[in-house]
Amino acid sequence: MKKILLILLLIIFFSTLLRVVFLDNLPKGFFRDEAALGYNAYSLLKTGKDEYGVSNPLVFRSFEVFFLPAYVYLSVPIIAIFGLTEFSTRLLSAISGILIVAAAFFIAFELTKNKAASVFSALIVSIAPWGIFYSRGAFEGNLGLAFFSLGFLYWLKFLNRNKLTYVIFAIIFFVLSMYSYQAERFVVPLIGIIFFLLSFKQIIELRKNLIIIFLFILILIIPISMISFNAGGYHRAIGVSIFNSKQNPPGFNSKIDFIPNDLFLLRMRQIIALYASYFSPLNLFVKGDYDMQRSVEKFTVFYTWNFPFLSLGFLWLFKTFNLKNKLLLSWIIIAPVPAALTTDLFHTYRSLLLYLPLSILTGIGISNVFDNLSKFKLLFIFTILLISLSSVSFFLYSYNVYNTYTRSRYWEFGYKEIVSFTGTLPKGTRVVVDDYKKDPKFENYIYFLFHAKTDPAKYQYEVAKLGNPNIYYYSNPSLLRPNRIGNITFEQVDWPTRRGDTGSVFVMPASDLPESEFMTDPKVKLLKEIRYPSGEIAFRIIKIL
Amino acid sequence: MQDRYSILLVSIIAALIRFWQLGDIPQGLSLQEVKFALYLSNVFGEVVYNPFLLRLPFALLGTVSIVLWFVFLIKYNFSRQVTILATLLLIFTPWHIHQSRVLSIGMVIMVLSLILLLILRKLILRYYKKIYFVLSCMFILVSLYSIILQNPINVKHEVGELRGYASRLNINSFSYLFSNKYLESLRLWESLTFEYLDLGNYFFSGYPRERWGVEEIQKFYLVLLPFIFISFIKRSSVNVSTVILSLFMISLLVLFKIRDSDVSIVLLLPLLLIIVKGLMVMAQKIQVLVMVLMFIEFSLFSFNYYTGLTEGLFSPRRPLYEKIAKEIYSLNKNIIVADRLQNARYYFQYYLKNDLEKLKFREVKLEMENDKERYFLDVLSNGLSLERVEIIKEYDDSQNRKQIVLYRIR
Repeated sequence: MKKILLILLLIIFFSTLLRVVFLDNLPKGFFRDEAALGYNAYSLLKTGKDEYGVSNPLVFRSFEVFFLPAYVYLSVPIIAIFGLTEFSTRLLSAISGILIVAAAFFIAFELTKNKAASVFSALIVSIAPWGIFYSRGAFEGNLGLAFFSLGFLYWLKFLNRNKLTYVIFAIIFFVLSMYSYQAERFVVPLIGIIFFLLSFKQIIELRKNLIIIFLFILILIIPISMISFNAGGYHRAIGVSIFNSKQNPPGFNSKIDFIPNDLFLLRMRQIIALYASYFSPLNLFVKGDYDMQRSVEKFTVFYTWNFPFLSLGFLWLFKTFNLKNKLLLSWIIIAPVPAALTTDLFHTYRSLLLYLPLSILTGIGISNVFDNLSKFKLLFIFTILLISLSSVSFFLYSYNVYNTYTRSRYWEFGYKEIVSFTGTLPKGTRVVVDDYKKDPKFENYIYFLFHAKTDPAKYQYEVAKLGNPNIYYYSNPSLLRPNRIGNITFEQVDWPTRRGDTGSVFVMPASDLPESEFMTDPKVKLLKEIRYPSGEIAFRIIKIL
Repeated sequence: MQDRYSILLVSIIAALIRFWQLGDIPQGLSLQEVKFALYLSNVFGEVVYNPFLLRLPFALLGTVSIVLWFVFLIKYNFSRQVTILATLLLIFTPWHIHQSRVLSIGMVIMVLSLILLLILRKLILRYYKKIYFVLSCMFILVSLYSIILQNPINVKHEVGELRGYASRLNINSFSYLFSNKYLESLRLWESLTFEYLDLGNYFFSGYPRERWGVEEIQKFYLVLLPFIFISFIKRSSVNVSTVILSLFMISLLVLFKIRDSDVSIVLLLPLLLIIVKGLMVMAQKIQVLVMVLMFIEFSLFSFNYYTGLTEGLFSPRRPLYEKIAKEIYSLNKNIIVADRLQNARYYFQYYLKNDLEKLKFREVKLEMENDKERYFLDVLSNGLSLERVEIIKEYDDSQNRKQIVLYRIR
């Protein structure tokens, strides 16, 4: 066993390298959700309140996203140590990713009592594209997955050893996952019911302690249940729900009024199609997430060579269909449901819960081949290691080179440079930052808070001018925040009418301010051009003389 | 004797579904059908100008393929239950129904394959394990050839683009290792191969991963989806051999980059076997329930199919050209048809039974046209000045998201 734990340590060390090295700079860019998580943790650290000035919130409103609290609160000590930086903001997700690798090892061992299966499972998770990608950004879902996997591990331990302590730990971790990410709020109660029903015999043996357990669960979930009845608790879910979608389901014809064309039936069919797509080999092994920000060029969640081993893992699952495997299967079946109920196609972040059990099954599939080999075991291990290293090398190259070139804009690259430059302007300069979206959301302010490390107390003072945040914080999902931070204003700029604003400095995307708009105008001075890594101009900063 | 009655019943049911409104559904003919008809008109005369008669051979092939499938299952010692289930599935499968009602090379291949399997039955039953080993090797060889030796042209463009990214970021080390034609060929092979493993491709008309330029049709009924997975719960030699056969077929389809539902229909038979194997795991009551649900889905599908609602974005059929051809012919005017109407010549030649005396097909540049006696048939574009022309009729080509106009110069 010591040998195996040493191998695990090596894998964890390797995973750490993959997840932590250059964490601040890869991926290039820093998404606004990350900035919001980091800044709110910073605000809590400095003032005990979030950016709105609310003490110890149950959700973090930010720009009407209503982040669940776990990531923010757990980031506070990290930011206290490392300061407010991209690195410290992302570090919790990286740590979660490393924990997930360890969890995979122990879960596989609890399921199979097979050391090879444990090692291969940990290896698969450590190098998996989904594992690396979601550990290198501030993703609350990754933290949620870490907690969920620990909850599952302790539940398996309970089944194997029948100790009350394990039940308590399992409940704690499952509930913590509910405080981490939206998908878990849906999945955990369902999984909890299924686990309870499947493990009924073992649970009944706890007898006297059952009431304590139920009370314990109730106390833990009261806060999250309370906010579920406020807009702050359901706003996000309703916003992305497929039932609220304005787009008709495929096959719907508004001119036909007959059963085959029934909107509800077709919507149900659409949901089934979306659900099935999360198990489609094409999506799992070849084509990635549709969203440019959530994918790596040429890669998806798994490597193609994982496919046959995953198939073998599923065969093993059904061949040894004991209680623990039923629990694992329940996890696999329920995991993509939240994602399937939203309008986005093959959303890998919302279905993140799915990929850990599939990785474990892949590891088990590899171990099945390994165990059945009478000769050439060493050669097999060497081959797997070689393929793994090659795969991760190609993945990292794609991630570092192709993604930097093609997807930096989707990671909102450029704002750090903008904030850095506007910080050098003379004090009192009026700066106008263009919110260039057709449906303006004025979310860019968070970059100025984050990168400038704006004093949270000062910003909270600005927010307080809008009214008492405790009144609207959870209940009103409308856009409610100041449109200025000091001398910086956030607006939707109408350039033709604003080009006469003498003395103002404008920050605009290059697409909204082409050269022809100002090059020949002597009253407009180009101060700086911010370029994407590809060389294309992202933003222009100009001054009206 | 019982088998003969069964074959007769099977033929009648299959024929009814395939022959009914054959000339009208699917609506319009494809370019392939039209060209085929024009070629045949040299041999068979005007009879091919009837869409029903044009499609008749393929409907017959479709019906015959079902009979051959039934016979195949009996001769290859499948159980009575499997034979009945598999035959019923084939009769009512949307994929087979559709391909029986259009010009389908795949249907020809399917019939020939079934005949060959019946002729070589004894040989196959005797040596099937060796045959599947050979097929496995051929699958690997064909796949390797696809990846290493074929090297399609579009891969070169992709490689160039990727190396360009690295070059512009000044990261030139190892770019030849990480972007090269073999790697991109492998990725292309993976992409094409896994398209054949995509559930959306078979059960949801491609949704949500619809393929650009490929006509997506519903191939199987949704109620059968779980049985693809259930089939593998209980291992069987039939499953293993069927999977090997499927993989070999997929490797051939990938080698020739066939993505549409026509030739790939050869996959239908092994997939049906896998689904039936899954059904056989279930209790008889469940099987009956599934068949009932399948018939309900068939009814819903039939409504959509026979009213033309299943025509997708990349349908190759052009029903609008039939309407246009007949209307402009009735005007009895000299008309110039612009070449922006793609392949219109073939369609009008077919629908007007080669009577193109009053039609001319050429490039039209409005600014250089002065003939006020002729009419013009063209795609509506920004260059069409309404001051210069008088629009006689407009046609909404929603399939191509265009407007076609018949006009004359003022």
